[in-house]
Amino acid sequence: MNIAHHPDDATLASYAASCVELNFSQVLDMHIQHCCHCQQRINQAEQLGAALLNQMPEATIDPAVKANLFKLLDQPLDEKKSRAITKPDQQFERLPKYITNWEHTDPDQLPWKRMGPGVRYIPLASTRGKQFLLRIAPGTCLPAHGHQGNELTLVLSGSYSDEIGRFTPGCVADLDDRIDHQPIADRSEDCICLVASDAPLKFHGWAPRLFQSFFQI
Amino acid sequence: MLISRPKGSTSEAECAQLMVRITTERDREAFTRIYDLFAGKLKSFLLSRGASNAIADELLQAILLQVWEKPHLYNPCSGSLSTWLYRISRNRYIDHLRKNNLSDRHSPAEFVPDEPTVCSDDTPSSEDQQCIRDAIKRLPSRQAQVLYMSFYQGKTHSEIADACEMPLGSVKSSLRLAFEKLRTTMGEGS
Repeated sequence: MNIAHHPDDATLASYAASCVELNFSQVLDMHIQHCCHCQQRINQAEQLGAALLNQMPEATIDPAVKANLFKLLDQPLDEKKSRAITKPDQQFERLPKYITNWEHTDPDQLPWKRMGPGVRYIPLASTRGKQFLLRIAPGTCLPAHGHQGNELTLVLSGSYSDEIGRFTPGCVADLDDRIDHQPIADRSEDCICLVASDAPLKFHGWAPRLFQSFFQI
Repeated sequence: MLISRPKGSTSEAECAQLMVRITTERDREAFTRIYDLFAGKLKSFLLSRGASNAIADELLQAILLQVWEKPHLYNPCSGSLSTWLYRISRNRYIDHLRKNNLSDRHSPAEFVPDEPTVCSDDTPSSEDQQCIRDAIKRLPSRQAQVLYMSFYQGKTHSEIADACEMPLGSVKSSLRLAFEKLRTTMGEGS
């Protein structure tokens, strides 16, 4: 896959340091698994993290905790597992399979909701911040907008262009409060993106601002 | 302030040897040595990410049991033991968030680690890691601050922007520049 646009190195560094919110890390997971460039960056960030780990002050560990660990070393693996996990696994919030398995998904079978002319969306569960699929009809121009926080947009299929460049499948737009843009879907097919954000968009026109209050984006 | 490692301290090569002893001989003494070198630092890392004391202890136990049960998964050719442990800890913490449907991090504000410490005689190190630490000392203060808040305090870009009253874009620029300089130090400039 030829990927022209990657997450900012700052975002990759924070991902490697496990300090990005879950909705962002899920978008990053999907990009990174196909991107050697970002895998290399993360490997470097992990080396940096390790160098800094070695400088961390040592937290106090209760001697009973240490004793318990050493007691577990001699126990059979199954018993260790049952003792080591004190909380039962729960159904955890993950991306639906139709997204993680996108190449086998028929987008027309999904429950799209209409957002505006040529624009549909599917809201996804996210405790903090927003996460949704966005489907833009060929040639549709989104309203010009800026960002009040972070936004990561991963193109799943189709393509769009804006002031930054042309975004094709696998590309990530890593946007923040410095960036105003007006994406236009290319004319060949619907452009479908996975979007995560932590603050509402900043629309410049009154009409999109009105829609924004309905769709909470 | 950092100081050079004195001769005789634990090197990454020695750490790799300890792992070989665990793999081939199930050597508890070698495991104890790994525990003494890393357990306190790994717990610090988990606390700085927002884990409670009890959860940090639980995750630490799982991380170290993985070292004991699957030492063969560590390949010294693909990186230092510190990097491997860092990666395991990071992944364990993320798994913990996801499995418990916490969905997002707790605020790391309750645990704020001290400033980086002077390397002790026992601090595992390699030339690369020492170069990185030297390079961090040369970073402009803003970049060093953002790097510190990200890697030590586990703060997101937005949390750093709020804490420092900086625009979000400036936080990312500072972190990107810091990372770029440190990558150059690691021998990969672009």
